[in-house]
Formats: sequence, C-alpha cells, structure tokens
Amino acid sequence: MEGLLLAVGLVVIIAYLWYVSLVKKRNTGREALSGIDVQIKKRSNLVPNILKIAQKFMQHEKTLLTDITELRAQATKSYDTNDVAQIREHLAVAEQLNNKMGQLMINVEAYPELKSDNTMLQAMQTYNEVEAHISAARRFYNAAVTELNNAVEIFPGSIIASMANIKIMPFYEADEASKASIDATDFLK
Amino acid sequence: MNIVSFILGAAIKPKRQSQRLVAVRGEIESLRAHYNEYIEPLTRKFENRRVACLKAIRQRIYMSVIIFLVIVLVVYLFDTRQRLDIPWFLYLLPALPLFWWSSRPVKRYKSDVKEQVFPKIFSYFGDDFIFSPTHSMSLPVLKRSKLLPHYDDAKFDDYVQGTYKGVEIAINELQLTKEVRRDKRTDTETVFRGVMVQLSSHKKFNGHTVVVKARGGLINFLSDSFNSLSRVKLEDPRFEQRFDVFSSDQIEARYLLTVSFMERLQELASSFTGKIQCAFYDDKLLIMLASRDNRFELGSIFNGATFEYEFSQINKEMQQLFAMIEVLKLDEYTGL
Repeated sequence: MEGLLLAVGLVVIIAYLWYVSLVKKRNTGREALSGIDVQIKKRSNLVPNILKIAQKFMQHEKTLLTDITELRAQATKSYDTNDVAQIREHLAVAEQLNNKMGQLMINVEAYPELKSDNTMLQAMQTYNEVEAHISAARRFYNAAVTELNNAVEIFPGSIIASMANIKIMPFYEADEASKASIDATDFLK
Repeated sequence: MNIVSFILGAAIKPKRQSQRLVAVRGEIESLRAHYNEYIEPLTRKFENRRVACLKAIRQRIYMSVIIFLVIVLVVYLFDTRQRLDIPWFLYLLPALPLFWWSSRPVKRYKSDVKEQVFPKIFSYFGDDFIFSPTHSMSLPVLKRSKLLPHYDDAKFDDYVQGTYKGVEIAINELQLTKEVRRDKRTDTETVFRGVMVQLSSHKKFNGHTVVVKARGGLINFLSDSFNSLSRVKLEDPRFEQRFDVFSSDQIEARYLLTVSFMERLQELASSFTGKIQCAFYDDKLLIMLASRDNRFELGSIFNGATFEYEFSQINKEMQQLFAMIEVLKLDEYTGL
C-alpha cells in the first residue's frame, strides 16, 4: 500500500513538473510573440513617414502605397493571443506588409531623386534595422514555438497539455510570394 | 643565429635582407607603400642599434660570468674558512642583478622599437591610431561586462586606440591574477591572460548579451542562467557546440548574433589558440581573447630589424577586427 502511495505521489509530482514546464514554454512563446508585436509596432510607426516621403515622388505606385496603408492598419489591430487562427492571420498580415515594403524599397531604385533624398535614406536605413529586429524576433519566436510544440505533441506531454488546454502555436513563416522562385528575366527586361 | 651560437661567439652582422610582407591580395600594395614611406626609413637605424645591442649583451654576459665566478669563489673560500655553512642557493643570489644588468640593452632596444616603430605601424590604420605601453582601459567598465573571472589583481600592458569608420577601437593586454591558499602558503594564479578589445557602437544596446565558451550540456541542463542573464539557444549547432549565449534581451541577442557574426566569431576563434568570449553592453562590444602570446611585441632580437613580420601580423589581426565592425554594422547610425 505504501509503495503504491509512493508511486502515485511520484507520478503526481512528475506530472506537475511537466505541467510547469509546459506552461513556461507557452509563456515563452507568448513573450516571443509580444516581441514580434513590439517590432511590428516600430515598423508601423515608421511606415507613414516612408509613405509621406515616397508619395511626393512615386505618383505611379498608388496601388502599392494604398496596399501598404491597408496592411499597416491590419497589422496594428489587436488580436487574441490564445487563438491559434488569429495568431496565424496576424503573422500572415505582418509578412504581407513586409513583402509590400520590400517591393517599395526595390521600386525606390527607379526614382533617383527619391533614392538620393536624405530623409528617405535615413528612413530606409532605420527601416532595414527594424527588419533585422523583426527577423531576430521571428527567430526567437520560432525557437520558442518549436520547444512548445515538441512538448505538447510528444507523449506524455500531449496528455498533460490537453488536460491543461495548452495548444500548439503557429510558426512565423515566410510568405508564399517570398518563397516562390525568382525569374531573373523579370529583372533583366 | 641562436642563443648558443651567440654565446659561443658567432659573428654579429647586420641583416639588411628583406623578409616578405604578408597580406590579402589587393592590400599588399598599400601595405608596401606605407612600409616604404614610414617604416623602412627606420630599419637601417634600428638594425645598427640591434647589432650594437647584441654586442653589448654578449660583452655583459661574458663580464657577468667572470664576476659571478669570482664572487662564488670568494664566498666559497670565506665560507670554508669561517665554517658558516652558507646554503647553496645563496651562491646564486649575485646572478640576479647580473642577469638584470645583462638583459638591459635588449629591454631598452625593444622599448625604443615600441616607442618609435609601433606607432608608425599603427598609423597605417588611421591617423588617430595611437600605441602606448602605459595607457589602460577602465577596469570598472570591463567588470560590468560580466565576463571577467574572479581576480585579486589586474595588470595592463600595451594599449592601442583609434577609430575605424567612426567606431572607436581600444585594445589592451591584460593579466588577471588570483591569490590561492595552498596548505600554509599563498600562491598567485593567473586566471586570465590575453587581449581585451573594446568597440564602440553607434547603435544602442538595450540589453546585456554575453557569448562565453560552451559550459557543457550537464551544466546547461542544471542551470539556464549566467550572472543573472538567461540562456539564448541559437540555431547554428556548430556555434552552439563552441559557445553559450546569455542575455537579458532574447530578441536583441538574436539581432546581434546573426549568421554572419557567428561565422566571423568562429573564424576569429580559430585564428586564436586561446578561448574567445564577448559581451555587448553599454553600447559597446567587448571581445576577450585569452592568449599566452604577448602581443604587440618584437620578435626575436636575432632576427633582422625589418619589422615586416610585425607589420603583417598586426595588420592581419586588425583586419579581423574591422571585419567584425562591418558585420555588426557598428558604424551605422539609425533612428532606433
């Protein structure tokens, strides 16, 4: 009887420690997600300045500039950090904004006056810096998500996770457009 | 010539034969131009000094040997007549001042080279580069890096300071020692010997990130922190095998430790035999290179005073540092 009690006690302790570790991993994932949001916010604050300068010179890029403005508004919207679908959507919007901004930076090359504008140069340098921070935040987030998802999906963590309602989190993946192979002829026209 | 043939009386002749400057392709021309303009004019003078110095050393060694033997003989006779039983090691006592006296010319020669030639070598990297055997870094600033091991005494040696693309660079040799009690005596143990490299940054570091030598899986399993900094797990398994990273800001740590920085740090670690550690804090990058070599020193006095080896070696090490600045873009101003 004593042996049985001891075994049950041991199982309870191990299950509790497992639960603690799962919660810690989930919280690290959330912390990493908030890290991404901080960087996205920084980028969003920077976007209006870039657009303001760009609008003066890039009259023919109205659609792109409008898309960026819309995506910026979507990216700064609040969302539920417990809802996997909402997180996934939020990260997808952030990535789309990233792509559109990348496109804008490439298009700037076609406007020599804009390219040589000092304010634009400073804004672009700062933007690149923010991009590097977002990339770092993404690395942290994906590392945290890998640890969490492994812990949630591997037995016996999967049982404890389902009992504690701890779910996997989505990875911050590159947008489909940026994954597509590049056709060099498009750039050599 | 080596020490034995030197003592046995080999002829001391000036060596005017040039060694080779070594640098990466494309840089050798500018290195050669600087050498020809600023260093080569000094080599004739210093070669004559070197020859004179070697002659003086040999003369002093011969005289020291005679003086030492005479003293030993006199003391021995006095000892046997008076029956004083002088311990054998006391016989060696006169050797100390004689050794100091014999080695004086070489010390003076080396210190003159450091004062007159090394600043010319470092001027290759910029007009504001200075070389000083007496300046030193601030110890409290170094302590804040959280990299220094526990020590009781710190001794600084050669110091270099300058700027590259607006980034301030300071290099200082440092030796840290600790008093260790063994049985009834206290020994002095060296806990660090090497070079400290401090690079300023135009970027603001909000957190504190350190890259230390890998502590091993067991220690990392038991503890995920280092001096109140949390462990940062990076994606590069080769880097992870060699180093452990700890930081107060997980995102900033990953921002700083990019793939190219990790590569560069590993490259730097491979070119130095000792361990390498670094810290990003107070808007500075501090690199701690453990090494038994005494850097910024002249090679053997038996080699000709061409200083080409020294110039090539210093250039190689400085170029690695400049590459780090490029990789980290420490020179860029941003609005962040």
